[in-house]
Amino acid sequence: MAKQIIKMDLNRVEGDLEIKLEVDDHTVTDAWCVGTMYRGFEQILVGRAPTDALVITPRICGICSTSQLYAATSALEVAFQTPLAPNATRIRNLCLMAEAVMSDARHTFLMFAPDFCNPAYRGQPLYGEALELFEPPFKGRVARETVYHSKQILGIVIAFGGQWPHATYMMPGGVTCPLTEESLAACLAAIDDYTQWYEQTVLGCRCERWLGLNTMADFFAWLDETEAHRHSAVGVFARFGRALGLHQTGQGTPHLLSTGCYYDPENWQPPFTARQCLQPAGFYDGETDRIESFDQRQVAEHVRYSWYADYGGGRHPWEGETQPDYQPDGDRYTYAKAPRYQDQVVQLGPLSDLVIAGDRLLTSFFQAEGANTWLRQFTRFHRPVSLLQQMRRTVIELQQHFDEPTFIKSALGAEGEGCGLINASRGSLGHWVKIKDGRIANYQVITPTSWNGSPRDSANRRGHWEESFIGLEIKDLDNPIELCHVVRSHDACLVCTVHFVKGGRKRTFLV
Amino acid sequence: MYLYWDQLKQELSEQGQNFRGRDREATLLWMACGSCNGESMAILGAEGPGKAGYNLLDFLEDEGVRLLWHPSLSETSPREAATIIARILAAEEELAMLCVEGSIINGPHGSGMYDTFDGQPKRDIIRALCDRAQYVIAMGTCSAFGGIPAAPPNPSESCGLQFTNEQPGGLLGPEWRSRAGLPVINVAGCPADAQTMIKTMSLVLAGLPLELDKFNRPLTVGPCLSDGITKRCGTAQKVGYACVGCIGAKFPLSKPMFRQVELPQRELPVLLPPRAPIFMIPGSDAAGNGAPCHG
Repeated sequence: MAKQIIKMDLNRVEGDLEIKLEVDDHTVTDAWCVGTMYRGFEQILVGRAPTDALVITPRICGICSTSQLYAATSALEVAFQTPLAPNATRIRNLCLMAEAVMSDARHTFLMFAPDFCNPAYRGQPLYGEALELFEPPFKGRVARETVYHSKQILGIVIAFGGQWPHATYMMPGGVTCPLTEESLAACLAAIDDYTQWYEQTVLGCRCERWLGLNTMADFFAWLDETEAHRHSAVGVFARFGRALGLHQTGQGTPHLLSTGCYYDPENWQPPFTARQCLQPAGFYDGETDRIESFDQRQVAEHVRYSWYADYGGGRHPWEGETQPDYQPDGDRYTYAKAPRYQDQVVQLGPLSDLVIAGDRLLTSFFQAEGANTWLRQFTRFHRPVSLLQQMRRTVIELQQHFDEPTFIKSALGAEGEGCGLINASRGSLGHWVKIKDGRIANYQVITPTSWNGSPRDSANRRGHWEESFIGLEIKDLDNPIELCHVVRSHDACLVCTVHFVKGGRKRTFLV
Repeated sequence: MYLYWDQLKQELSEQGQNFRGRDREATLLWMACGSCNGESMAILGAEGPGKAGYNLLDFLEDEGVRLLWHPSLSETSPREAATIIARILAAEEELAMLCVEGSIINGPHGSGMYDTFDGQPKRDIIRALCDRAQYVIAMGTCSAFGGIPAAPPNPSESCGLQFTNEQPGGLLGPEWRSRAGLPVINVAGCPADAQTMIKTMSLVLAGLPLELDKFNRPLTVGPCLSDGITKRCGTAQKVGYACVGCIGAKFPLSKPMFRQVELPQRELPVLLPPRAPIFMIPGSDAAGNGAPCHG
């Protein structure tokens, strides 16, 4: 069969995604990721009071609004050099972890795993078991339980922020809410309940046992050890996913980036130069196999192939512009920009975060097989285990520091520039702000999906997703399930790409 | 309020006032436009009394609602979804409830191409679907009034379904009525409260006469964390920042929105469990300085 260009649209991403593929017979030979929705948050922010970012930016995304709030608050704190209460950092970390734990479960069991129930897999030995656990919508046992338990863990955010999503309980200097015994008790209860469910249903073993798995060999030995392990949600995922060869697809760029997260409460203070994080930042250079330190000044965004007024080359976000310029004809094809680090295409997400942070189990897999579809998703089973432990530790720290304030009052300045960097559940998120005369003069947001789903840059290099589709074999072009796995392993979140698109749903043969 | 609602529903079901066509399943189509998917996420968190909870799934099952399609939750492939929409538009599939989240995007230059579906401006498809639906429910302030995307300078040229901020008329004219004879029901909020969304859909399915205010918000809509009696936003009192007025038609106002309301550390009254009746003391100075939330 001759080469053809086809357009594919996916559902069950937060916001929709349009992917244009060039296919030679059944093998992908080129790809373009198209973002089709533009909302213009950055333009709305310009000219407003700096603290309006605390109300407006969480509303960029309904699934990671705590992440947006944390990044916005940090950016203002860096800009104004605001001293902040260590307890506030603890509360922020705790809420951000809760959001990640929620997101990992909802993404894995409501978005990723339903693809295992695709009719294409009827002949797979584990198909019946996958249906029992994951059948959409909400029919599978684990899917149903996820609705309940992911809501319960958000009780932690609600204890401090009153609502989820879109609460504005953080502000420069701290958090607006007081620390109460009731809120801490609610947090502990939520962590306990969730841990119990996670052990019984998702892992099939105690968290302590899971955390003792340090290598790939440990994991496979664990998997074979008991029926409970094999038939747990992670057991079924691991076996089914590897049977499908998901550990051999979706590699993409070899470079990983994580901008670090969960500031050390006692040490995160002005001048905010030493970024001491519980999850450290870094750039993994796939060519030298080394982790280098991260410098936010090395970030630049390109708009050569995006529907924005072109400024030529890359620009650091502080100097960035977001001036939409929709041109239906020509070679521009998306509302997403193309961020690059040290002029390299990088991939972001929980796998990048944890490999750079030195997680032993994931590093063992990563060294053996590289970044791939299976490993990215496996990370979302693994990450909540250590987060739950860290959350409990944070609550205990809050109990120990119960009499300290959660907010330090200080006047905000009228000038400054700052950036707030954290790891949202689907990868590193950055807000860059410039303030002049007490107003926002420039605001740029770079989300994890901006990085992963980026278009080509000024040097015509493909974005990470585009690259990760190359060579993929799609058996049935009417049911591109292999493509779905690759995209979903990145937890594609297009609404949060601020400039991203929502595509149509019909697959059209263009050629 | 919760008990009151249950009683009301009980009485009505005894009177046999049922949604037209309830011998069949009621159908629900959920569309997302210029949205953050906040309502979709919020409604997953809906809960009721008891550990078992009353969540979205219980609602769908108990009320006999068939979810035709939801952009993030359905397994239905995009192609099938397009077919479902085509069937609705061709009147081959009845549509009881159309729920829309997110603002209606008209940019750039009125073309609607900032938000497309199947290569067409999504707002055109929404408009056609509205005419087929028994009830159209705007889930959240964005689809009701335009919300955050419509804030100045409104880069995406957003509006609401039947309002543009507080001005009547959005995607649909002020006189537009759904097949059941109602304007768009505006379940305002940012995000709309999960329980309010479910209650409103239940009311609609029960065929109850809905009382709407001048912004077509049903009486189920109240400010965040309010007690349901005074309809006063509880955010300041409970969380420590002033109400941002998210259920208002003018949200977000073009004046500074964030104001901390300093709470005495530790001397806060114990929070009552959600949905228990709370008797607020009128004039209590902690609650948003007494400013009502309605825009």
